[in-house]
Amino acid sequence: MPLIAEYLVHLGRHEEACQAFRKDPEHAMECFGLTKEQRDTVLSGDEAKLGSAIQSEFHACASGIAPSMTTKITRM
Amino acid sequence: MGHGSLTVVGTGIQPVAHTSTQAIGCIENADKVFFASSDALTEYWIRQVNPEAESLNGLYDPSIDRHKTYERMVQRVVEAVESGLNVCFVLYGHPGVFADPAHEAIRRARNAGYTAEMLPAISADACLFADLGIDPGNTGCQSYEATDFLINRRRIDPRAALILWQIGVIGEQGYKNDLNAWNREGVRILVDVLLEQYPADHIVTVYEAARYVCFEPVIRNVRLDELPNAQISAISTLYVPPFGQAQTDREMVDKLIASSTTL
Repeated sequence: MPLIAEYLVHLGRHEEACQAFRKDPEHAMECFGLTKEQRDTVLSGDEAKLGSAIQSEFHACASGIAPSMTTKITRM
Repeated sequence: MGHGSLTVVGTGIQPVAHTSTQAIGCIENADKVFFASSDALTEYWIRQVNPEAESLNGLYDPSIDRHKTYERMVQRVVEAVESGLNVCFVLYGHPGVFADPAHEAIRRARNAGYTAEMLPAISADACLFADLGIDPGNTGCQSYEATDFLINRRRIDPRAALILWQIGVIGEQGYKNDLNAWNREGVRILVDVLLEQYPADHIVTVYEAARYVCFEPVIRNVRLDELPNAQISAISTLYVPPFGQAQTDREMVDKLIASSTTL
């Protein structure tokens, strides 16, 4: 499952999740199951980097490779 | 199979968070969904809502004039309507703002006798008003696409707020997928024109709405004459606050007072 995308959809749907993220983003993301690398990407503020990470997760899920094993990130 | 219809919706600037309940319902219930969005999250989420959704992103090609790309999009969408499907066409932001294919698809579908409508959505100006704390009702608000502003020598009133869209791609004809590929020389030309009506030290704002719910918007305040050196991207918008105060026309005020008391 592309976890970053799932988390962002979750934030978009639930205002209380947004509030928890704004209050303590690291804790909120950790509770959702995001890895340190994924949390850093979300907190980077870098739109291109986040988009690439999401895209990379899709490719990984589609090919059956765990997201953490992917190294090449492609931009849209 | 039904008669065919078209509903054009927008995801807002932040997919999911900005997408209206009405728009989500249309995506969910459509026979066929087409979407044009360069955003990976939007694509993921739309496919969750309607697994049959089809991306039109493959039609974008930096080597092709964007009008030809838009024409191909419109053809794909309208052909699906003509085949009897209830079609939902999903675009980023407000589907009717900076979105020629949306208006054209609706026009063609209606001309062919099909029901076609557009649903409103959150656009970048709505985000700008919220993020910068601006009420366009206070001084009025002029809004132009930056290239259009320059090449058509649009007349502005510096006493009212001014929004210039797409200042990073002034003069660009095609499509670029690199946010950092912006035309600095175009910004210099824009500043020269604005300096005809604003002082060099007028503080303007480079603005970019947050595209993800976890991000903050980009808000950079700079002197007008230093704008060409500011960090600008292909999606930057320029907000120019009012300079000077409008002079109230007392004669007009009296006329309006008189008109209201005659009721």
